[in-house]
Amino acid sequence: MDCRRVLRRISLYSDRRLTPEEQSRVALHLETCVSCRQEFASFAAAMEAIGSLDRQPAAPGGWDRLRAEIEARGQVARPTWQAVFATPAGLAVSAAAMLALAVSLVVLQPGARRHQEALSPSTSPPAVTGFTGPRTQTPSSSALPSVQGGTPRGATPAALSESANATVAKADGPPSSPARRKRMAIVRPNAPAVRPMASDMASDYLEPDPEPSARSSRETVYASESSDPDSVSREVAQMVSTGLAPLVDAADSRDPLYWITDVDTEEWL
Amino acid sequence: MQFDESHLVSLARSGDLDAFGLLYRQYAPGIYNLILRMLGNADDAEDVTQEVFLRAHRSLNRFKGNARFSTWIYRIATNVSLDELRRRKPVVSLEQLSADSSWEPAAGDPEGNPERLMQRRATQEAVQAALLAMPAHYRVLVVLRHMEGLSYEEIARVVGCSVNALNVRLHRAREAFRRALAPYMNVEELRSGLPSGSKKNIALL
Repeated sequence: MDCRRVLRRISLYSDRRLTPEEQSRVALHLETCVSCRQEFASFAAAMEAIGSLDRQPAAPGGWDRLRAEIEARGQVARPTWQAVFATPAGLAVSAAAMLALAVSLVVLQPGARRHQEALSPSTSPPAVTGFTGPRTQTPSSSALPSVQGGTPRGATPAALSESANATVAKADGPPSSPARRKRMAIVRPNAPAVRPMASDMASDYLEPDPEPSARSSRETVYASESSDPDSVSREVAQMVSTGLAPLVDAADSRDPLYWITDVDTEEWL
Repeated sequence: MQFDESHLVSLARSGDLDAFGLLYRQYAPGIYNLILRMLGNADDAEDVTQEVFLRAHRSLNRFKGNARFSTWIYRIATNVSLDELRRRKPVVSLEQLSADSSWEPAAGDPEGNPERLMQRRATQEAVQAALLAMPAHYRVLVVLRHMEGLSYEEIARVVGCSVNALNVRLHRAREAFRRALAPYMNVEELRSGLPSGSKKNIALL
C-alpha cells in the first residue's frame, strides 16, 4: 500500500473502521515508513488533544429556568383528551374538578340564586379552564430519578440502519457512472415545499404541520448535477435560510467532495 | 427508580413536564458542551441550550419516534448552533479565551502539578481556538465524535448523511482541525501538554 492510500485511511484506521486486512496493511506500512508514521503521530496527537478538553458543567438551575420559561410561554404540550382521561391522574383531576364545581354551587347557593336571577337565561355556567394535562407532584430537580439507557456515548442502537441514514434522494445512474461519483446535494430552487415547518426543527423526525400556511416553508434536499459556483452560492443561501440538516458553510462550497452526501468510500479511498 | 427513554418521551408528549425534565437532565450536559465548543462562549452556550430544549418541547408532540430522542435533540442543537454562528459569526481570540474562566481545567484534576496544570490549560485554550478557527460544519463532526463520543452511525443520523459520506467528511474535518491547531501547537508541545498516560498511545505508533 503506497503512502497516499495510507494517509487517506488514517482517520478510519484510528477508529478501526477499515477491514481487518486493510487495518493490517496500514499498520504494516506505518511500521516501515517513517514519514507516514510521523504524519499519523501528528494526527493522533491532535485527536488526543481534542479528547483532553474537559467537559464544562453548565450553570446550575438550568431546568428550573427552562421550566419557568416553558410555563411562561404557555407551551405545556396539550394532550388529547383521550390520553388525559385514560390516566388515573387524569381521572382523579377531572373528579376533583367536578367535586369542586359541585361544592362551589352548594356553598354559593344563596348568592348564586341572586346571581342567576341577574343573568340572562342563555348564560352558561363557568367552565373548567386552564387544564393543560395531568399534573404530578413536582420534585426538586435534585430528586429526579435517573434515566435508563439513551446515553449517546459509545452507543450503537440496532434501530439505526445505514439505509435510513440518507435524507437526500440519490441521483439516478448505474453504480459505476460518473453521475454517481459526482452526486451533488443541493436544494432545488423553486421546488414545492414538501413538509413546511419551522426552519429550526429536525424535520425528518417530525410529523407534518397541520397548518402549513402559518409556518415558513422548507425544501427537501435533492441530488443535482449543478457545479456552477453562482448557482451553488444561491443554493447555499437557501439551505442556510431553511436550516436543513446538511451542514453548509459557503467557504467550503467549492470543495468537490463537500457536497457529496452518499459517496462510495471505496471510490474515494 | 429508572425509566425507559421511549416511555419518558411518550409521557412528555402527553404533557408531563417532569418527564421532559428527566430528558433534559439526561441530555443537557452533552448538548451544552456541544454548543459551547461550537460557539466558544459559555454565556451564549447557556442561552442556546435553553433555546434548543424550548424548541424541542414545542415540537415534542410532533416527534414521530422514528429515531432516538438523542439523535433528534443533537440534530436540533447542531442546526441551532450553525444558525447562531451564521447570524453572529463570532471571532474569538486566544486572549479572550484566556480571560474566560469557563476554560479552567476540571476540579480534581489528577495532574495537580502547577506546571502541568498550566500546560493543560494552554493545550485546552489552543484546542478551543483551533476548533473555532475551522469551518463550522467540520467542527461539529469533530466535537460529536471526540467530545460527545457519538458513533459514526449516530453522527451520520444527526447530520443527515450516509456513513460512507461521513467517512470522508470526518477525515476532512480532522485534517482541518490539525491544520487549524498547527499555528498554536506542534506535536511535541501536544505530547508534553497531555496527561502522562496518553504518551504511551503515541509511542506505540
